[in-house]
Amino acid sequence: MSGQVEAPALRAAAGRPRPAVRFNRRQLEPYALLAPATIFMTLFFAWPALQTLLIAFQSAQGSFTLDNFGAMARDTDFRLAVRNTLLLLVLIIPIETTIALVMAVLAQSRLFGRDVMLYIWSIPLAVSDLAAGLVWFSIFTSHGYLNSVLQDLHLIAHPVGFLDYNNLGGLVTAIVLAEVWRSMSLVMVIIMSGIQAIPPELDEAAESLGAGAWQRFWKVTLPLLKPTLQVALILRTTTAFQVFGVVLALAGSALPVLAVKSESWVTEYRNYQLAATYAILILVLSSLSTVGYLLLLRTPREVFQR
Amino acid sequence: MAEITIESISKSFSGVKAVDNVSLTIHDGEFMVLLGPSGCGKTTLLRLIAGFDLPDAGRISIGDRDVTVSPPGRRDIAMVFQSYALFPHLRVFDNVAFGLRMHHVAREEVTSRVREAAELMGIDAFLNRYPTQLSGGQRQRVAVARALVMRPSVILMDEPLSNLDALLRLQMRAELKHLLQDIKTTTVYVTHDQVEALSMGDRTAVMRDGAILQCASPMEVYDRPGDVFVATFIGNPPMNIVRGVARDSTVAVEGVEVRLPEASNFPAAAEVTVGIRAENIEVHSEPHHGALPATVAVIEPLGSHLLLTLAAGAETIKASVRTDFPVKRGDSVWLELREGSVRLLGAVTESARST
Repeated sequence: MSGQVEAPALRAAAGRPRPAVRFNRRQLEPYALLAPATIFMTLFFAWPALQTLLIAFQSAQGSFTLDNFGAMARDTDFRLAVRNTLLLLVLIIPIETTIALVMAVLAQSRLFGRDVMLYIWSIPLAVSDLAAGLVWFSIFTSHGYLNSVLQDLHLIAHPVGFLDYNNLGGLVTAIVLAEVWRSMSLVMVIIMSGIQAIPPELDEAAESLGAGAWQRFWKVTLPLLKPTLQVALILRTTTAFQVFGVVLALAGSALPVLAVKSESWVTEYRNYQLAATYAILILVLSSLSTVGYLLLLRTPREVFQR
Repeated sequence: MAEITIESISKSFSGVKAVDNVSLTIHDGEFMVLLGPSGCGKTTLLRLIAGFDLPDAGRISIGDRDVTVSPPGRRDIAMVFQSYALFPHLRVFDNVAFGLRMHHVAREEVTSRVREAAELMGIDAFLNRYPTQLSGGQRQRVAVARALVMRPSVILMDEPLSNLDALLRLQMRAELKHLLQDIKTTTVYVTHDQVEALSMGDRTAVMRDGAILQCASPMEVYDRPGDVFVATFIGNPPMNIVRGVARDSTVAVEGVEVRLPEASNFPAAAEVTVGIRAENIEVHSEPHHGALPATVAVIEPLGSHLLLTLAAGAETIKASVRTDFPVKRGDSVWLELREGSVRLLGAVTESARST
């Protein structure tokens, strides 16, 4: 594409001799348009990321060191934080992806009230993670909605401590529910756009060749959704490694996870080095998962060329 | 192989009648073309036969089975789509094998049948490629192979050649006709291209506004159109339509009487619409008995012949002549409407008069 755009410009430049350094306005325009975004991203993302990377390899005095990684590994809750983060991730991602896929496929059918359902399903898109955590906190807490309902139905005599610090199952369930509820609609929106890009005749062709609904889903829809699923999974897994607000609201420090650890090393102990080291660990894990998805859900180049 | 019987079928989409009380019998092994302008209901009729849409009323049977509400996979049909609808994530082999695998055909038989169909369509060299690595013509062949390999009772084709360039279309047209004549499978073929309809079908059903206007052999539809719409939709140039006065077995056009092939239904003089094909008009450079005087308005050389646009009184008539016919713009000529080729297309009604 860029080659086609540049070629006439190059030819014009070759035809008419002109100073090599002078650009005309037309050539500069795209760069001028891209500049604000580039500057913004460099200033507020690339630069802090680089700073974090440098701090993780520095001692408090500013000299190069690898000690921060040792310190992180010896941190009391380190193993727990890694375990909890991974545990939440392997529960949340498959559950929400499956539900989102089902909802996206259902949304394709011409069911009555489809549009209303779509609006309802996309409400969580607009909710922040901390707010989502607080919504579910008000449900699960000892005097929350769930306990009230169960008591009113006389199913329990006394409030159950779903979110007690030692109730691992309760905490994990609540966090998984809240995270799935919060991010499922994002996955659904991504998958729906992928489904809509599949020509409807493919489904009809498969149907006329004798494929049932289930076979059409497995043999046609799902394989063609692979690139879309790849995007959704990469996006959601990298954010799941950073799970923060929901955990903070529902469990506080009762269920340590990597992002909350990083935050507490800054806010409670002013230890920027260790906080940065946790952040780098999250970065490394996210990158590894991304590479994993890229390899695992690879599509032959020929398939989507047009 | 099977006969398709369509009885009084209707289908509306949000209040608009796409197919309106259509009945049609397609014989075993017949090549039936559904022809009409876009929006005439031909594709809807095909989709009703395929089972992608279900009719609001009426009955469809294939062979002796009532399939009115059967799912497409249970109708023993195979469909070739306008867009080919090849599965982009599957290689050519797996595309062709898809239907056989859905029907749990044994692995060895799948391989042999796919190879057989691929050889028939001349795509055996591409079995390992993805659809995106094929040209339009090759994709078309894969789509046909994917349908043929099922050995269906009925093959349905929805404008299968319209995405090909002109030369390839010409070639595929002859090839498809040859192929389908050989395998003798009942075929329903939808097109808006009247040349395809004339050249390929055993019979052509001309459709408009959800109804079949005429269903007959291509030559019959061309030569004896049932009404003005069919007469002007088919043929290039379209049939000349002029006013005339019919009585018994003659019709007068611009005051010149011509004998009709058979007696008309008009014992008393009646104003009628007359149709005649450009090639059935003899053009004379000298006054001729029983010929209409006309003036040459436009001369179009079309390679094999000249197409003349002529003004004869209030009528504009097109006639074709040999390329060596001596004529120039503004010349006076005399038009002899060939006896036996003049068609009466009905009485002129008040509504027709106003249009």
